[in-house]
Amino acid sequence: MVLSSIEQNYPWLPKFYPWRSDTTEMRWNILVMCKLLLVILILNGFIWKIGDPYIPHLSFLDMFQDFPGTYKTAMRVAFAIPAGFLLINYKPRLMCFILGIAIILILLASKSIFRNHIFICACVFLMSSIYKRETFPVLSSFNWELFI
Amino acid sequence: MRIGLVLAWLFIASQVVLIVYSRFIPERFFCWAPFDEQTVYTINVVIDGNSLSMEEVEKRYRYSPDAIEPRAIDNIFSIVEQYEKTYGKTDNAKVSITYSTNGHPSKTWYYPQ
Repeated sequence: MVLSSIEQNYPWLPKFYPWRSDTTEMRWNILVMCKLLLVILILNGFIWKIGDPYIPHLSFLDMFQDFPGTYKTAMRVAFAIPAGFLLINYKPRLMCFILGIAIILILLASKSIFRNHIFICACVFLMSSIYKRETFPVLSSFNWELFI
Repeated sequence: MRIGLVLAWLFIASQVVLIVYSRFIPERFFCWAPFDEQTVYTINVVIDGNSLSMEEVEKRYRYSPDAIEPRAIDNIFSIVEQYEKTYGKTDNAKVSITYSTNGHPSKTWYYPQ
């Protein structure tokens, strides 16, 4: 409610202003949740933990060992660009989808980097990408039930 | 939208399957249900009679060699075993992990077993 009052009081703020959450195709509360999770991941230095496949969950990912830096660079780009666009409210549903897929691919590439909370973030991004603002996010609720 | 919903249902179903599957295997990857175990562990690696330092062990597995694991200790066994069977196959390393779960008496896991 505080956020929506900010938006009512300052309607002249540009649509891409990161504190605005009423200008997109997503529900404002879902968008705020995604942005907060993203900020936590960034502050946690997640992007610097992304590396080439190393002791992967799927053994075929080891083929990227022959092309050092390729997987790491691709995944860092796949994380950083949607993260930036999500923060400025540009196509947030699409950006959440890309972020969710990218994080799962990053986790699949290394058992050492796997953490439950990062996987939960990926699930939240994916589930948040499905619904438009006029639809109640039923599957997100189901997924949260599974987390709990 | 409909395809998206179908995929989302499949994604949730896959999580349920993974949670059920995890009941039958020791590892706890991709099944993030609350896990009330804390395991204090230390990893020791010996190659050709020489013990690796903590830094070398951490560099080898990219995992802390001496810490508290809030998830299943089998996750660490899995990391060590996979490394020694693939990247470190020619090292013939002897690995031992001493661990204590929830304050219970210490146990030791060896590779090769």
